[in-house]
Order: sequence, then C-alpha cells, then structure tokens
Amino acid sequence: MKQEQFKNVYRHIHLSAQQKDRIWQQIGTADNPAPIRKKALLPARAAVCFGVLLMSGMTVFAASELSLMDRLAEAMKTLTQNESDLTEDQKNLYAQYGQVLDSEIELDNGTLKLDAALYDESHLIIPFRYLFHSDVEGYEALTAGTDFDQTSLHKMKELYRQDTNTFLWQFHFRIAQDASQTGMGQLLMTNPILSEDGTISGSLLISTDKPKSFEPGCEIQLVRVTDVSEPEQTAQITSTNETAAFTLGKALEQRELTIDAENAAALSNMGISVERMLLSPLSLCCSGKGTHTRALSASISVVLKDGRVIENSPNGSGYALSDTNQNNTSFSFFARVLFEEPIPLEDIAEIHIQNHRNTDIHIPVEIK
Amino acid sequence: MNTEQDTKELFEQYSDMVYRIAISYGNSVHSAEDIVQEVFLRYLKKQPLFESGEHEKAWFIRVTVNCCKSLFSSAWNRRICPLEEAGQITLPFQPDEDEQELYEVLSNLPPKYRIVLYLRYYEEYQVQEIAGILGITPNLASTRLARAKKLIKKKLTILNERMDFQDETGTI
Repeated sequence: MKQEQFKNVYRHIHLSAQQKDRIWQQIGTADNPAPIRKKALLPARAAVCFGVLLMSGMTVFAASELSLMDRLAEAMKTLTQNESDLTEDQKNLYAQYGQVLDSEIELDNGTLKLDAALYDESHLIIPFRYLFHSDVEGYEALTAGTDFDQTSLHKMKELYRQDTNTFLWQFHFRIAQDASQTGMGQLLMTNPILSEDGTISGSLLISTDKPKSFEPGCEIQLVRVTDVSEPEQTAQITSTNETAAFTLGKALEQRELTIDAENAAALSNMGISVERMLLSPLSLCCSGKGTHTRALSASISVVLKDGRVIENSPNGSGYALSDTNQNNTSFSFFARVLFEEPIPLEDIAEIHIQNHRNTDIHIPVEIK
Repeated sequence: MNTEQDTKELFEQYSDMVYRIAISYGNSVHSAEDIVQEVFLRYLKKQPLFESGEHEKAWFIRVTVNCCKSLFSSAWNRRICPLEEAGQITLPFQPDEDEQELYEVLSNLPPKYRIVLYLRYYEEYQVQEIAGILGITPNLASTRLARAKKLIKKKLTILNERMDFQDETGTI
C-alpha cells in the first residue's frame, strides 16, 4: 500500500454542502447552541468530562453484549443518577467482584467518598466520588451550568494540581503490613466524570511493584500529606495524617498460567526465565530471573477469543529488579502489565509477547 | 470570546477532517455527523485559546478522537447496528476497485490502528506528534503503526491470493 493510495481513499471522504448546512444549523449560533441529540452520543446519565484531567488506561470496552464485566467497567466510571448514595446495582456489582466500602474523608472544600475496592495482587482500584460543600466559592456557579474550568473550583489545590496535572495529589497509600510499600506510587484517577450537581466521580488506581502486595486481610491506609516543604514544586512529605483505612476482602479472580518448554526457550532467548505468570481481569504479573533487562520492555498484549487485541495501559505497567549484579546482567524481576480495559478471563485466548527484534511468543490461556 | 464568524471559519476548515476521523472510527455516516456536531459544540462551550495553527488542529483531532471513543464505547452504541451494516445506507463515497479493496481492509482494522494510520499517512504527523495528540506513549504509537501496517499487508495479500484463485477457476 502506498501513501498516495491511502490518501486517495480518504480524500473521497468529506461532508457534502448539504450535510455541512444541516450540521451547522444544528450547532446554531455561539450564544444559543442547538441541543445535542443525546440518544446518539453520551449515555444519558453522563454529563461533562473534564478536558484537563489525566486519562488513564481504564477505558470501557468489552464484548458485544452488555456483560457483567461491562457493568463492572461502567460502575468503575460511576455514572450515577443518585449522587449522594450508591445505587443497589452498584453495591451488588462491587460486592460481587470485590467489596463495598463505606468510607468518607472530609476535606477542606468537600467530601471524598470511597465506594469500593477491587484488586489483584498488584493493582487496587477504588471507585470514588467527591462532593463539594455547597458553600464553597464557585460551587453555585458550577451547578448553575458554568464550566468547571471557568469557576474558581478548578484552582483548589486539595483537588487538582495544575503543574503536574494530578488529581488528589495529596493522598498517599500505605499497606499496614509492609512499611516499604508507602509513597505516592501510582495514584492515578481514571475517567473522571462531573455530574450536573457538581459531583466528581472516578476511580483511583494504586499499583505496586512487588508481587502479592494486595491480599485478603491486607490493611490499606490512605494518608493525606499535611505539610510539604515545597508546595509549589514537589510534595516533599514532612508529615501525614491517616485519613482512611480498610481491610481488603476477596480479590478478583486470578489464574496462574503454564508456560510450555517451547515458550520457555523463546523467553530464555530474550533474556528472561519466567517462574510465575499470574493473570487477572486487570493485569498480567510475571516474576522470575533474567540476564537482559531489555526483555522487560517487550510489548505484551492480550488476544481475545473473538480476535480483538487488548494492549497494555500506558499508565499502569512497570517492573522492579532485585538481587542484581553490578551490570544488571543477572537479576530477579517482578513485572506487571495493566490492561487498557478489564477483561473477563474466560474471553482470553492467549498472551502475545513481542520484543524489539520481533520475536513472537504466544502463550495460550485455558480457563475452564 | 470567539465570534460566530470565527467558529464558522473553523467549521469550514476542520469539519471535513473531523468527519473523516469519525468515519474512520465507526464507519457510520450518521454517527460521524453527530460527532462533527459534538466537536464544534464543545469548541463553542470551551472557547479554547490556541497558541498556533498546529495547536488548534491538534485540539480538534484530540476532541474528535475522544468523542469517537465515548460514542462507540457506550453501552447504547454497542447494542445498535449501524444502518450501513443493515444495508440501508451507502458508504460515504464511491471508490474505484483498488480503493474499495483498501477501504474494506482499513474498515476492518481496529479503530485504534485506523486512527494512527490516518494521522501518519494522511495528516503526515510524526510518531511523537501522534503520541501527543492521542495521549499515548511514542512507543505505543509506534507499535500500533507497525501492527497496523503488518495487518494491512497480510489482509491485502490474502485478498490478492483470493483474486488470483478466482481468475483461474472463476470461483472462490
């Protein structure tokens, strides 16, 4: 295929004068825009999305029917009609896949509600809602229809830090049983949505680079930075307050994969020996030993039974080395790949690994 | 505050581009028209200030991609069948035979591959720029481009082989 052929195909695609007139009329003038045909666009309960927020990898796609995983993913976006409380459907969904939380944190300008905890060994997702206090400056304008970034609310530092484009940046997580697992970590917010009454909803994603970080019985503490040495540049924590704590219940279903001799040899040629490969609806986690760190940057994707390929999220993957020699030519590793969408395990056909030399490794997944 | 005239000029300048991206995402004329409307409504609502022509164009592309993702991933959209599939509406253009074949191959690629191909080979953005527009890493953009080209090559090869077979026997 030549570039010119490609361009020719797309040159044919353009609006006719009639289409342009019709669309322009529907748009209306700048003062009186025509109403959007909601049926064909966003779901009826969704409202305005922030343009400035991070978009992490937890997007919502799944099979053609609205499967339970679709509902889980939709619930993770918490498109809720009732802004004060979770709906029964959401509570049931969270209870089915993880646990319902009942945790509230009072901040200076609003209340942060932690709704649920869903996790595998390295990733913890906490759907949440943030409700502004009604007497906060800018809130009235927001609920009257002013865009969020046109109000004074978006400058509130407790919520959003413009220089790093980070939400809830003052929160760190801590695993009570493991003092080494403390820090800002990968505290991202996924798919934040602003509803018409001013509630922000989304999900926090916490990732770790150690295996078996999150297990049933693990106590998770969310701490808030209360003092920083350089507030305008970096958050140098000088003191914290425990803000919320909860104990993890059941985990998402996880399965250990078997690597046959042929694939083990191919991985060995890449420079790693995988001792354990664990698959969950959220991620693939591997641990083992290696001689070439570049092997840990291989591209990993999930091939579904219907042929679709799910890639890894750019925001939620990483690896950690230990027991390294001087030149990193001998090391132990733990690597995790967060999928760009949650995947029911029974839909997965294989894991596809490809390195920079285009070595292809296909690891079949058999879930009965 | 941008005037109606400003908006109309931008509409004339970018509506075809927005429409092409939307068609390339969903293959549906009606959905693509809705997306054009939504993108320019968002422009009117946000009134963004642009540093340059390139920044302006990248904004429209980014918003279009986001609108496409929202529309085509919504539960509502997953449960409806675009009228094109039901045979009720024709494709957005009348291609010749070679273009038809290529368009069919492109239409069957996943949307995330179609968009990187479009940005690279039609809009002639470099990988870094594509990554910035789509909000992905350059590595991921590069990987998607490589996979997309590989898939096209494979599908075109299969099509050509099938045509050869047809020539010999008259049937597939």
